[in-house]
Amino acid sequence: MSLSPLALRAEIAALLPRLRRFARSVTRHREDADDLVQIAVERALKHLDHWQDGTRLDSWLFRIMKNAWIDEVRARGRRDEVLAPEEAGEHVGYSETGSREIRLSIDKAMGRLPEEQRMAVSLVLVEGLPYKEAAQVLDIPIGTLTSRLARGRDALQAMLGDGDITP
Amino acid sequence: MTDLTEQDRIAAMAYVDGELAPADLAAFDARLAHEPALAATVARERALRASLASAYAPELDEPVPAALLDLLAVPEPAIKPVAANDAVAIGANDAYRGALPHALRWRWAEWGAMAACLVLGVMLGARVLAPRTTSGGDTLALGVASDGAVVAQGALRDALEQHVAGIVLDPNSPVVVGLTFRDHAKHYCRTFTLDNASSGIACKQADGWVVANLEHAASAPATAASGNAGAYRMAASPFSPALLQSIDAMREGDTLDAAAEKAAQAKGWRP
Repeated sequence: MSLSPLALRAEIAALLPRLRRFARSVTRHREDADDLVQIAVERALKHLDHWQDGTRLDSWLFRIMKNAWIDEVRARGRRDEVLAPEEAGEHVGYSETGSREIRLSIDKAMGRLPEEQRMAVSLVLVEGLPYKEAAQVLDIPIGTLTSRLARGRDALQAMLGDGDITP
Repeated sequence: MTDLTEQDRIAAMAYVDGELAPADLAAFDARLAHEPALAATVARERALRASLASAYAPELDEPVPAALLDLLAVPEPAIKPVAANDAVAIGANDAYRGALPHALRWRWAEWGAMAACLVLGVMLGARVLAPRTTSGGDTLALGVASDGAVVAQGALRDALEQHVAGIVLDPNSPVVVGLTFRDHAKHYCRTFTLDNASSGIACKQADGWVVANLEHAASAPATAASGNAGAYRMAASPFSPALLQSIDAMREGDTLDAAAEKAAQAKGWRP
């Protein structure tokens, strides 16, 4: 028994905002991010039967995206010019005036992390994946994941200044 | 933070992430009470986690580009011109409309354009289901019972009867069943979508699954190629806010969980 292809498509569509967010964290480029999501979704649709019922669909898609990034998108070399929607001139609503600056500094700090630390931080702290899931997405043992997470967090803390980043 | 061993550093992080082994949790809590360095690290980790989550939350509200939604749109099934006459006859028939049970009629009225909605639903059902069904008399998703109620037929009826907890038995079925709840008369009601293009609520009564609400994804006329834009919206959110509201208005108690759905199904969805 499994979800019908129709239901799966609907589930994937519902995940698109999160897929785009993770893709931006990975690529650091808004257009590359959407290219990456597109490639990942195309691959997923081609291999819908590979997804196992009872496993997390978001993890499966994140993993496809990570592989697609390594396989092809990264090679294109349009990177490190991203960033925040504000800089791209888009309107994103914020309730407090201070949160825009906080967001920008956090995003800048994230951009300076080595890619493997940034992916670990993104999956666990932004996307909320359990360690086990995040480790599977990245194809690494849990111990490696936790050490990347710890190093990534230490670097973020150092860049952002301890205790000064409470939202 | 600098005083901590690597092991404690990792433990503080795991604690904040909810990943500390249950067996270690009590001991760690006890240490927090009288180890300020450890407690400070936990506080910093917590603040960082909260900052990251809130910094990137607004990205989820950005509209998704159509090119990405296109990938997930469902191809229009082959359109077969069947049942158009039946559909018009049903929708335009005032006598039939008058025969609707009062509560049902009120809901149709609430939705507005009851006839249009019904015609649309019947045509859509026919269009979607006809190519996939074989028996001549059972090609429509919707039919009319002897007392005038609109009842589910064919693949829609089968899905409403058989699908439990979001598991679709037949992967080729165009029907996806969503939530199950009981209405004020204790009937079991279920939400459904047909080929991601129209959605509704059906309640199991003596006549079968009586369709109480039905809407097409797009409010555009059925004749236009309404499929695409509609399918996108449906794919992203199977039920409109209006439909969700009517669920809340109709339901008595919470929606059923998987076990309750199985139990209700075992009883033939009888109240």
